Amino acid sequence: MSCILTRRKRYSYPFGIDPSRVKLPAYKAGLAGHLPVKRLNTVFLPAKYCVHPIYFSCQSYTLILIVLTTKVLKEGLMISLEINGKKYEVDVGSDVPLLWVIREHLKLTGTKFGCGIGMCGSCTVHIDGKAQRSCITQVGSVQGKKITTIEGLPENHPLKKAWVAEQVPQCGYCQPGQIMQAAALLKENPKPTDKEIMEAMSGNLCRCGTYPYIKQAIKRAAKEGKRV
Amino acid sequence: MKTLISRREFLKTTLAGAGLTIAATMTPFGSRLLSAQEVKKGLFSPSVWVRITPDNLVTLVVNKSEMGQGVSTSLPMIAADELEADWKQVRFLEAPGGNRYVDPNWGMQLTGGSTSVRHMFDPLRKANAAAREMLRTAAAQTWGVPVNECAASKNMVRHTKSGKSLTYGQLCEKASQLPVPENPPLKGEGQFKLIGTSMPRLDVPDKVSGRAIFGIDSFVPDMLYATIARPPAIGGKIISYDKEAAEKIPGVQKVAPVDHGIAVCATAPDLAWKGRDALKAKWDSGSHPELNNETLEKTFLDSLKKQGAVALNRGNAQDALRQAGKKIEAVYVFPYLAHVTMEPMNCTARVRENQCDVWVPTQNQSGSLEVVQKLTGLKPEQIHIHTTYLGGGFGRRGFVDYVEEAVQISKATGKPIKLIWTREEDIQNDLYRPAYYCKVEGGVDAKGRITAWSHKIAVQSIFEQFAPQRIKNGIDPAAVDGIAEMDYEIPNLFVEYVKMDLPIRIGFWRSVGNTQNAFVKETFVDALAHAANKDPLEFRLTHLKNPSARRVLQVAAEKAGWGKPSQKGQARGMAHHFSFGTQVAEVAEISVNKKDGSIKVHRVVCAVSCGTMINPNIIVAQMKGAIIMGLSAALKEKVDFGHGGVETSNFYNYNELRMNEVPEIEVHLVKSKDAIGGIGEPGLPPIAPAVANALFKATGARLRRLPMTPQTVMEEMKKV
Repeated sequence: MSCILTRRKRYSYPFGIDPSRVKLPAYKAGLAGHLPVKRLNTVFLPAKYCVHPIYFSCQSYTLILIVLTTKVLKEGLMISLEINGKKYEVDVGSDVPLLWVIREHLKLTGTKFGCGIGMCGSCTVHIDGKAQRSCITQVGSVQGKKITTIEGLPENHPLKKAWVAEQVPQCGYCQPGQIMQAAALLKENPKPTDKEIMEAMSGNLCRCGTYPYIKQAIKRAAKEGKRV
Repeated sequence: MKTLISRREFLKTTLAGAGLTIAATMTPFGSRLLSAQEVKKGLFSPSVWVRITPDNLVTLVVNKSEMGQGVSTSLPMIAADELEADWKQVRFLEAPGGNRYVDPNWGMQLTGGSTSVRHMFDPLRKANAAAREMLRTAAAQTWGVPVNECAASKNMVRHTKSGKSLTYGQLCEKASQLPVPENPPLKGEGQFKLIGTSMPRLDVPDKVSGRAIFGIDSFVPDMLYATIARPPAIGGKIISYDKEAAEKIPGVQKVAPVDHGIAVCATAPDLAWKGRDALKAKWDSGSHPELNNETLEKTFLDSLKKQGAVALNRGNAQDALRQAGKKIEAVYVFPYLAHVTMEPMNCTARVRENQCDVWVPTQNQSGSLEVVQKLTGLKPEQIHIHTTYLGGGFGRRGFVDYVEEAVQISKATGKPIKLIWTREEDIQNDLYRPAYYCKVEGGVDAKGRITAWSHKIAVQSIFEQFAPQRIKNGIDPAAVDGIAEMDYEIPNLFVEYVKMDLPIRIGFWRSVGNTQNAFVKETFVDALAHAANKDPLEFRLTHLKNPSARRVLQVAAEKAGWGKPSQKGQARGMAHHFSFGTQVAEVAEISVNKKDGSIKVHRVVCAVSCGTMINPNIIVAQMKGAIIMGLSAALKEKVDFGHGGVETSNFYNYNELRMNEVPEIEVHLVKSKDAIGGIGEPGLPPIAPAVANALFKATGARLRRLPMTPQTVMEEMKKV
């Protein structure tokens, strides 16, 4: 016999922290193994300890919350991310720009820093298939969403092939951002006109002036790409 | 500065260390350039420029920085051609910083001035011809046949009579025991296999996949991220800062004052910035609090009244001006410009007791080495400069201020650090293309020939800071580039230079003084043509003798349909300029919105003549890129000053050309027997004057103040 103590989400949590979204690595939570806190939502206890189920429920859960919130406030939230189909847990504040998490924490360095204000496009990634500027995207806002970086775009993607065929890059620094922007465009509009290409791409800067080559490569990919 | 080491000495020094390996200094960060090649036993390396391994791979060492201009393809092409290497077996390795890799022409390891191919063409050919001869000899000895019966081709030596063959990989060991020939025979004209072909770039696959490692992508175990709180005003001094507040930010580990401000080091870049903000640093108003756009303009205009140093005095320009049938006088104004490489300045440094490693996107390995030596007191062999890919250079990365900062911070904190400048720091702490004011007077006679030209330039001196030995008789060569030695035949030409003394940092910006001088020269020639009632093309040709100059003008004009009516509402303008050993002419077709003054450039036709062409595709790409950068500067770019400092800060107030504003560009390569010319820069100077001349054709307005913003165009149109 065991009784089940549960906490439902309709309650508001102390400090606004939902424990079901909090994950701590084992060494921090002091638990054996990598235990997501979510499981603590449901605590199984032998019946003999349930002197008064409601009383116990309140007491024990409050205790757990106090311990957790202290840890969380002290050490920060773990953020769960799905990038290029792989799951990552990162120990950063939720307001950190996604760019720095991708680049400096996870070392996916194809995504570049250019301006920090979303005006050059070097940091472009896909969030749920849409081109977004990762330098102005808070990492906390993309949990549970699918993130794709240049490394996650298949090597045989028509755009990557077209970029090589047209010999687009010069210094190459802005190109991952350009390719990600173009990939989002072709996904939405497989046969863009010149004007549509220029409209979609004019947020991405290239100081080397590879624009004519970028345009050609997108047109080539649109022509040759069967699956974009 | 030139020919510090003679060619012969160069080969002696570089060929001396047969069998030497250099790969030991390459770290996982730099070696990606090489696709993770490892040095294997039995290496054949008769000079530092080439290494052949028993697996038949050829590694060619590139001592110039790859910043987009294509040196990591063009230099290996030159080397592989002479080596008779199989292009499929060729890899390149970016040379570490070191005296063995200096450009023999300069005696320095430095990339700039569109010189890479020009300076390395002969040395690389000689070094690789020597390697090829050794491989042929090794094969001949193996088979016991005369060397002249052994032919090298595609990584293989073949005995022509018997058909026997051995690969370079198989010949490695034997070849490495042979003496290095001092004067190997070089290929003759018409024998090149790779030179002159559009081989695909070796750096492109990594740059498309996202694997290419730029400076900002360097990682060192245990490293911290550094940022610097800097004074907003030029020469600003710190008044106060809250060190404790910064140290309270989680992740902030070190706060240290350095030469250029207060450095904050943290475990992540965003945390370093939080720490920097928490410092709440207070600065004084700087060394020149009165400095702003207006005071600068006044200083420049006053300077134009002064007498300058004489750069050229041919005939008697003053007398000729008095006698001229028609006379024109004009004042030109150019703003300060920022480089704005897409990769902001950054450097990773690890200073230890007996060693210093620096991972840096730099155009100047020699300068980096020197600054590290100065700061650490280490010997050159204890310092390792690892050159990564450069996310743009354009002259900015020839300066090593950011290397100096990174090394200082690493030294002060005792930690490896990665210093990343924000875009704001990058724009506000640039070494700008200098502002430039200029006054020109010119006259034509009744036959429509230019008889007199008097030219006064007021600009800061770039060379004064960096290579004062290049200044002769008070003339900075960058200030008068392309004017004193202009191609037009003018009997009375007077050029003078007024050196400006201002606290603003200036430097080399793609094509340097040619950008301003070509604009002045070409729009002024256009104005003189108009005064003489001549067609601009015909007028130019009348004054040009140089056959390549004439040829590029004729080709560009013909391909652009010069003389034929333009499309409705459009007008054409042309310009020609010779710089970095290369002749370029460009024709621009534009239209002007007469209601708001905005210029739309529809088409640019470019003709270029640069002698021997290494890789035509790269030449075309460099021309197109330079035209777009030049157009961006001509129409949009300007750095603003105020309150004693730089006010421009990021892309919302430093405007650049975007894809929707880029015209159709066609490039025509004109063959010639001229000496090899540079390619990275010469495409840029003619575009701005071509557009300004087209604007005159379209509206009658002569624009002499850059950038040609809609507002400036409207003001000029009102004067017509």
